[in-house]
Amino acid sequence: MRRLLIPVLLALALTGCASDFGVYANVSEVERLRLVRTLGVDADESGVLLSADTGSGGGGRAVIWRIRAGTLAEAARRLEKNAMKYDANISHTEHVILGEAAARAGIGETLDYVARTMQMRLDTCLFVARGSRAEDLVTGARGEDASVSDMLQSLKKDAPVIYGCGVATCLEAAEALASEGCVLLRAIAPEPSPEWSEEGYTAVAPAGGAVISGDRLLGFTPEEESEAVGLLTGSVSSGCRALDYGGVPVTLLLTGADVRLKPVTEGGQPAFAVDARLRYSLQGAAAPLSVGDGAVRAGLAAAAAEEVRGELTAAIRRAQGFGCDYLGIRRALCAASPGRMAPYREAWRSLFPKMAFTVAVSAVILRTYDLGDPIA
Amino acid sequence: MTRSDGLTFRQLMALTFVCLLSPAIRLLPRAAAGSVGAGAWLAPLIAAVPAAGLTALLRALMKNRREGESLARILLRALGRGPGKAVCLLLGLWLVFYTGIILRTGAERLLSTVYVGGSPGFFMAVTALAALAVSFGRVRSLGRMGEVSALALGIVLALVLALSAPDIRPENLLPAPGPASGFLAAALPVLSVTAKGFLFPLLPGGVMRERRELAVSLRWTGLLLLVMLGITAATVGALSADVAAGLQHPFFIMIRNISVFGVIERIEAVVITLWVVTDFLFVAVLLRIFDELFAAVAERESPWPLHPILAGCSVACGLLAARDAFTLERLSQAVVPAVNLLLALILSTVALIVGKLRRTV
Repeated sequence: MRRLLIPVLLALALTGCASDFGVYANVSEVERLRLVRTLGVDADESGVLLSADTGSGGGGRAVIWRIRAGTLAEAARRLEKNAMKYDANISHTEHVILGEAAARAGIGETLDYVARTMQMRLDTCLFVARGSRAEDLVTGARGEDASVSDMLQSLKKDAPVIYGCGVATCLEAAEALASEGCVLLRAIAPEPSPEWSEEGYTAVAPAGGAVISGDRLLGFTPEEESEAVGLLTGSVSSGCRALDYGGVPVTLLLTGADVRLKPVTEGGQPAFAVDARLRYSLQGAAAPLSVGDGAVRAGLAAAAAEEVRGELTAAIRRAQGFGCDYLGIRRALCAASPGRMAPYREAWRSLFPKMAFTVAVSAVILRTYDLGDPIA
Repeated sequence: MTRSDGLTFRQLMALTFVCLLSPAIRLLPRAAAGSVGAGAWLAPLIAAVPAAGLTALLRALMKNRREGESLARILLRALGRGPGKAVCLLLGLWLVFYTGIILRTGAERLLSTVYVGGSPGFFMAVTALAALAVSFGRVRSLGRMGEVSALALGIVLALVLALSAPDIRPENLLPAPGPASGFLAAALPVLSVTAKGFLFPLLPGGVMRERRELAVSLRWTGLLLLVMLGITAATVGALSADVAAGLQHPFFIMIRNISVFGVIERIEAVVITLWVVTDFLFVAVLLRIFDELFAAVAERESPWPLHPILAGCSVACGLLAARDAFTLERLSQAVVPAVNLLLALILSTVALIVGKLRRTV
């Protein structure tokens, strides 16, 4: 009898489904449940303003909340407990947007909250609102039937292909801050919606990179540099390049890139060399161009390579100017030559800003998509 | 010994394997990542030889056991009645404390990962009650539960490791050259986990003899080390050593990040719940061991069930010794593993040597 008594007593205590009975009841009615997909974090003297968006998945209307509290944890708790008409649930948050002011104050609280709280995941994408508050994007970026969550999902998916470099997650940010002391996050900004049917609405556009050092925002990189950053970090898989070749506007499509870094010595001092080999396809030309001619193709490739070389050099110089290796150069060099890099592992942060480097880029045009020389 | 008493050798191995998974996951990824960084996954490989040595030591001690004789009786026989009883009493007192720590760490894991704002006492009491219900039964039933749980947990673990594979980045696992002391320090938690294996032969009823026990033991030790290697590699590979070393439960946070094509997510609650099985079984084993240690010291069976009283004492010990998570962490990460390792090593070695000298083992 006593062997049955214990399980019965346990069963009485562990009724998780009943809201009025049971020690740990955690019930939300499905009709009231709304899953938050995007959180916006802004900070000012009075504390944290948390804005939340559910997205408009399934054709429903997006629900937006704004909660003000002393800390992010308190604001999130109030969001889940006091969402009033609906029960907000942040367990499936996909994106976190930090307002520029909040990022300048420090992203540590946000990263710690994501790591510490059981509801959130470390693969949540992290963005910085450039020149605006996160709240402005969460509440303002919308279309006919799209909200900021839908736009960010699209941006996240297209980033490596169209916008040059990918989007960092909270885990990647934490890893980079722990190992390099800095990280480059995706910056976004509001812009008028490019879709004709969405005229009058506001969309979210990529706005370069946000350089975080320690845990504070130092500054931004230009959007035009995103492809170069993507090439150096290995996060770009495709991209269009508009060239002016002898007065002819030409469009090349990047179809592959091998970028290798290796440590070298220059004048007895440690340095590094970047070797990029790019593969392009010709997508279009505004005037007749004899692409069947190998010399023309070689000229096009050389022009593209020269442009990319300048961009890569500028990107590395900008990182050196910030004093931050957010391009992951140390990591790439250690992977290429761990023994040679061993003496510089500890001193890297002081060495990097002054290090000499060379950039060599070669390109080749592989195809023109079923059309050799122009029809007309 | 009748077939209804004690464990089969396979059941002993399965029960040991299941119960040691919990301390393995709790101790290993974080401790190894903190000691040696990206090379943390090498820790089980480095510990393989000493772990095999410990296994062989225990097998040598138990090699000439009599029918139905538990390790407690072997210790009495090896060391003599007086010293043997003192050792059993010391072991019993330690196990009351250790059971409390297991209950407390299990409760803390649930509070940190799922039941935010809860009370550890509730979870400790529930786990102790559930383990008590099982401990009133036959030891062979515990063994059968170990076999079933080993299969279930093995499947879940294989699935988790497979699902986490896409998140593993090789550059997070490339070991950086570092001092040998770091690698040795990373191997110590592995050794302390495998050393806990000396507790399970203390169960009453003894273990049935089997051919090639040493070979079978070494295979199971190898399997446990392989599991530890997989867990460490998956955790450090997905999170990086720097991040893993700073988290309290890096393995469960790694699971929290698993997403299968964006369709299946948040599987950590299921995994955490299954892991409760390991704590529950371990506590049930330890409660059963109390009876055997008492019988060895008093030279008779206890007239009343002793383990409910000792279960209550364990809950009290756990709550008093670790009032907060920080004290618990110091105890469970440093003190308890060290004591278990020393106990296993010293007891086994001394008992074997003295027993051989006295020709009683």
